[in-house]
Amino acid sequence: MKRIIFLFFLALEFSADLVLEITESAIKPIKIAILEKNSNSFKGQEIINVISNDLKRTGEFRVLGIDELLSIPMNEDEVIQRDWLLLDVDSIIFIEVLDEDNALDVAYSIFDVSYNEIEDKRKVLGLPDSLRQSSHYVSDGIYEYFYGIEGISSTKLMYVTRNADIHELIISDADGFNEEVLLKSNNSIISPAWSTDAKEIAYVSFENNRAQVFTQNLATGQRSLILSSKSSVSSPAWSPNNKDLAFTSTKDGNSEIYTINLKSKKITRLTENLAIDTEPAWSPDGRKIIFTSDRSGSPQIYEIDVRSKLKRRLTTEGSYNARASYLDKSEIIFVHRSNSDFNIAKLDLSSRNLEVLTSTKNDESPCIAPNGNVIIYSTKEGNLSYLAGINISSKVSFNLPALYGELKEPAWSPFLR
Amino acid sequence: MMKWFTALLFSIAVHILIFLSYVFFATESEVSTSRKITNVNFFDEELREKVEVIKSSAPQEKEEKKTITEQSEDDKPKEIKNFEDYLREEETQKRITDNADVVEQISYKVIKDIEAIWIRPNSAEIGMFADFNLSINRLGIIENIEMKQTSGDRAFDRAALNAIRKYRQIRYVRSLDDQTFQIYFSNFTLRFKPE
Repeated sequence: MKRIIFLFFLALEFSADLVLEITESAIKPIKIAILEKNSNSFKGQEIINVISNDLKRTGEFRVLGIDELLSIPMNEDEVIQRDWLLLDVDSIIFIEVLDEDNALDVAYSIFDVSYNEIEDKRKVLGLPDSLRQSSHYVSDGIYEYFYGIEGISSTKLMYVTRNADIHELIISDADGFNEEVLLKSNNSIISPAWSTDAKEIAYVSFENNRAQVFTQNLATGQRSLILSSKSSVSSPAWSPNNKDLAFTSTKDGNSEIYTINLKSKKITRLTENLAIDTEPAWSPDGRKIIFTSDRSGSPQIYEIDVRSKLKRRLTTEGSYNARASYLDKSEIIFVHRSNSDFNIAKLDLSSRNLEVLTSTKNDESPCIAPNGNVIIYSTKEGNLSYLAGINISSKVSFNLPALYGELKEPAWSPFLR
Repeated sequence: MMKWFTALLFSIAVHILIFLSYVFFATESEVSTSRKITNVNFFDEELREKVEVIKSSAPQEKEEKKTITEQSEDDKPKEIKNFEDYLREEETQKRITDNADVVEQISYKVIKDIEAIWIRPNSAEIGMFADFNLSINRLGIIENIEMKQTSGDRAFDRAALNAIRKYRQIRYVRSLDDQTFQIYFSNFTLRFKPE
């Protein structure tokens, strides 16, 4: 809605203060160019490629290629402003690779074209053989400069792959590179989850022929079984303070939601119902848990207060709503069936407005990036199961490279500081 | 004969006296009228203010008009003069209204243009806003941008400032007359407030 406000209107004395209110914004990417400063090295180009791909994947940047430029300055002093204004470029990013003892530091400056001067200068301290990771940190710095929230290029993804009968739990960079196998099994592995400090993970393994929840320290590799029970234990979810783990178990005869204090091992039962209650997820403040229940006859999302155990139903639209998690304190995302398709949807808890975010057909296991702006999920096309993502701001979708017959159950790490 | 001559002289003297008295009182009356004209001028000032109030506040309109009518009735000799002044005021008011329409049209164009440039950062939240004071020259070129109110978010302020800097020139103001330009667009405020 456009507004014009006349604050003072003294007609004959001729003094007016006009206020024009801008409320809508353009939905278009920020146009930038990335150049190496005073050099044209192989490493520099490699860094520029990684950063360009990181930023392009967000859908919120348009990174110009060298062949699109009218002039190629070697540094800030050589910038011909007119050339860049003609191309409507917002800023030029100058990258400088500082090679010190095999540890590549990357310095970068953001040159604002309309101001015709450097607006920001930063430096990422590199570790040996960490060129890609340093580049991801530069991408995150650039993203934050322009969009005001942290970038997610330097975060990690965890997911499960299956080739023939081999199941692997893998951690990779957010762009799918640098895979590291954490667990290999002949039995299914599902529901991987990061602790909020990114030091531990939890997952469900069927290695003992029933669903069991394990935690694993990422630094030492040490595994712990959460609950010794002959019944099924699944769907682990770390509380925001990492002290508790919520899970689903049939230990009392029916699938119910529980929490366990990881130190005292005290178990608290949250639901008591003849229906199936499963897939718990914590609210950002740790006071509530949302879960899937078929108590109404079809899978729907419910919310329970951890202390008072008061429950309320959150979804009412559609006959299938499951696998929910909080986007923030007022919005949740989940798998929603519309007609015969399974999509990822977002529900505003205040306005009750439901928005279907994806256009693929068999979407499952959505999870949210730590900056709250990207959702990754697994989807199927024929026999191929792969990971896809969508940027909430730009609505741009992307796919991660599908190297496996089956790739599913993604879990996004917290920020790695 | 002498009696008749004395009576004639007396009569002439009386007539002269009557004439002088008339002249004297007639002069007094003119002085009095000119004072009243001064009062009428003062009343014009009041009327002008009331016209402004009428423009900005519709519910007060009837009451103000009534006051004007009452005052006019109390002072009938001023009626003709007041009517002329009132016509003049009306003409001024019409000119201002016409200008307001043009100002509004240009304002909407400026808003639309900047909305097409402004890329809102993801950190923007409802209720957040930033104010910028713009000084532009007669050609519409933005000569000075001053941040009057920060949003508290660096990326938000940067994006807003960047949109203004990219806009650079408000060409529409060239068509305005000097007075209207000076009043509204030589210096105005842009508020970035996402909804």
